[in-house]
Amino acid sequence: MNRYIIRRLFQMVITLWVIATLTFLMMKAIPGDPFSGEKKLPEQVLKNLMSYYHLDEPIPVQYLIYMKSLLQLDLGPSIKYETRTVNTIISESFPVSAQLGTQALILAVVTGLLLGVVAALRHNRLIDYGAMFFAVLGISVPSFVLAPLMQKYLAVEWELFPVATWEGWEYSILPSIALAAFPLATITRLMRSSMVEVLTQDYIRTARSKGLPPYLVVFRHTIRNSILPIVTIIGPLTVGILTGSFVIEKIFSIPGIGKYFVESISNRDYPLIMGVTLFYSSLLIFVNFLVDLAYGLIDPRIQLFKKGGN
Amino acid sequence: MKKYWIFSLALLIVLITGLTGCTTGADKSKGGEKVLNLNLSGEPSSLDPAKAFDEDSLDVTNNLFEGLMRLDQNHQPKPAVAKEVKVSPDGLTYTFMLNKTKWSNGEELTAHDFEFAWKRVLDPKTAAEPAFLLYFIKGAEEFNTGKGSADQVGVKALDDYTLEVKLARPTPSFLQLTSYPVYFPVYKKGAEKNPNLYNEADTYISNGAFKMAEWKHDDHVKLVKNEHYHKNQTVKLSAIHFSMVTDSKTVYQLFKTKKLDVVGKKSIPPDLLPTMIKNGEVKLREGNGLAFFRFNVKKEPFTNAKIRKAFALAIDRKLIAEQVVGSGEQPAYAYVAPSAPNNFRKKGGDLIKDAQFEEAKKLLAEGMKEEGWTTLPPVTLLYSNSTEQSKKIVEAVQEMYRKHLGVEVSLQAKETKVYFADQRNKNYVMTTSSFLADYNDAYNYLESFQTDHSMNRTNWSNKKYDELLQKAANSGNQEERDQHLHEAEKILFDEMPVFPLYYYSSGAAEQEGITGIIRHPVGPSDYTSADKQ
Repeated sequence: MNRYIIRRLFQMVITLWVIATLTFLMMKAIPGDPFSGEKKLPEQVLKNLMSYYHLDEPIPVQYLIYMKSLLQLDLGPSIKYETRTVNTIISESFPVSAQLGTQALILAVVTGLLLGVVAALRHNRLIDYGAMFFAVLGISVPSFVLAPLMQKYLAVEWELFPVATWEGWEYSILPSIALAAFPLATITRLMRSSMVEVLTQDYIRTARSKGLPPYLVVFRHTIRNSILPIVTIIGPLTVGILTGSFVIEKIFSIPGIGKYFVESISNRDYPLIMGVTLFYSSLLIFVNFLVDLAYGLIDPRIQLFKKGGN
Repeated sequence: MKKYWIFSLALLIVLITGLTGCTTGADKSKGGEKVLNLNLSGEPSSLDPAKAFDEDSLDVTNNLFEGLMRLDQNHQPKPAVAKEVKVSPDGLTYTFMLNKTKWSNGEELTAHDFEFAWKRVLDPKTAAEPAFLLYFIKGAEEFNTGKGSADQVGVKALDDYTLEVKLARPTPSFLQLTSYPVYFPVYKKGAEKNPNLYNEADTYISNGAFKMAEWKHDDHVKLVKNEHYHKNQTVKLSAIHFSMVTDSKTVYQLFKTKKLDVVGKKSIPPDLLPTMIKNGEVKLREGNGLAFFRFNVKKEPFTNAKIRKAFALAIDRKLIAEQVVGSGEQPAYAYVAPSAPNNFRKKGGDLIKDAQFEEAKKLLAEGMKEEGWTTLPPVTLLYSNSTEQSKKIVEAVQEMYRKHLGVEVSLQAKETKVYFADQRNKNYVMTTSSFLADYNDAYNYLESFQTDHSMNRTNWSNKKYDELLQKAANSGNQEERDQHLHEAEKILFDEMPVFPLYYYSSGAAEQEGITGIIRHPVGPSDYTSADKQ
């Protein structure tokens, strides 16, 4: 088992290095620079700025400088937010997105699984149709429509929730729901179809015929066998949700990390582009690793490593 | 069934906690507390007075600090930290006598803090974008470009309360400039120990009407009244809360629910703006700068001045300003905006007539004949795809050329930074452009089109124009200076490497009971004397 983990960790580092290098090269290939704008900066001021951020060096040198500081886990200064470093930007904004994401994820997984299970057990009945109606709605209504609608009715017209900004727990309810809508719908549909399939299997019939109480059939045999597809998507889904949503964070004015994925590119904020990309990749790679380990625990058929001994 | 019970119970708990939570809210004015709730369009890029250069950063810093001068309601510089100013007859030496004032930590503010601050801005290691606004000072440009040293910069604290400034050339707008954030003093004792003291709230020391209380990045900045401010009895607000909401629809909802006291015209959704202007919710005022078009005079067909003129005259500016943009902009018939001081625009008058379709057609034919063209070389119009509005404008312009010149112009949209890079590398035929003045002076508008100026971007070069600008820069006499500038502006319109479209307008919507906010066509807003009922 240790050997497997060490091998995986080594692969993870290589993957990250490849991602860092490719991102660096692609980012430098985009035309434009961080300082081109409406304001007329004299050449000399531009030169000072370029040398301050080492942008006047040839690209291979810039790459080496970046890699050197990356090894020390220093992601460098942001160019757009002149007085902040990429490390502080990530460490300040990620916890906010993570809190919101965790709430949304719990809401999505708990409600999604519940709806999926109920829909499958009441296959082709009213509850099933109802759950599927909401699932289709959740998948097809984009968040930039859902969020302003919720804002308009739940916050402005009926004054149940605050409109926007981030000043306390109650401010996180609307964005959590808006953020949860899509994964919730996805999980519901996936769980339902997977469960409908498992319910027709022979071992379920066996379990029923040997006289197990229905709730045990559902919990011990059906759910455990049908949850595997959910585990597969839950890794990337978690990372995606935890790292925030540009749209939701913008609409509800949440100081999360989501906007940096988009804005850093349009601002040509090179260190920030690298920083958030690498942060996201490491998170994704790590969570996928955890998911692989979880497979082994849930499904005995999957063997990640030969049992030690002989 | 049991499961449903648990589920509905959970939902109920979420709802109840949500509802009870709603009673707490943003900063409200309670018990005599007067908090002005404002919005920034996002995290300010820097609140260090040396580096603040975008509108949001400038707005916040301007209310945290006070410079030698401060602009009054009529946009005139009035003594602030300075008690009085003596200007030498040649206009090259300014001596500022300072009031005895204090920093927000209670320590004395001296002329040394100013000297330190200005040299800090100019130090190439600081890499301050607005450093060039100090180039009027002797030795400043040299130090900033690495050709001189800090000692050669013409600013010196003669004693604790006397600051002497030597200029490189007479600059009538110098006093106005000393009211801008880049000229603010810096707490020398703190900055020598920690050069990044203006990066976080707990080390932030300032000298203005307000001091820094909270700065949660990406979330809000809160300023509270500074008890050490030398005129603190005139300050009526107890605090200013700047939130950082980027989405314009959300900003609008927050304003409607009275969570925001003031919203600027720029942060109102464009589709709602015309109505809000019409019903008086948004009050307009003269703005800074203008929207215009650039021709690349080294690319055909705009190598020919008559063809450039034809393209300039075939535009109906009034129609574009009123119908296409429709948010209070004024059609522009010259380059320097009406908000420029000393009635520059009134004296200069209009330099181009609107919608001269017949004249345009004639000029186009003449120009083509001069060049020996039977068909016009293809014209592409470069624009930035950042806003819906810029697309509407270029489409209107395309239609006008089709209708009035019979010319088919192709449109080319590019992502903002690529668009600016193309502009700077002169990789275009014709392009939309925008100018915002850094300080309110006709010179600042017109200096752009000197040969090889970083704002020129048209390949246009005219010796007479360069000469006139040089003369204006070196003239200490306002009349004479303006005369040179008027002449230069005329040359610009005779040759037409650029043509104007509309002057920007500014505006804001305020809740009832907000008074005393001072705004200027150029430069940040001032909340020092603002009040909230």
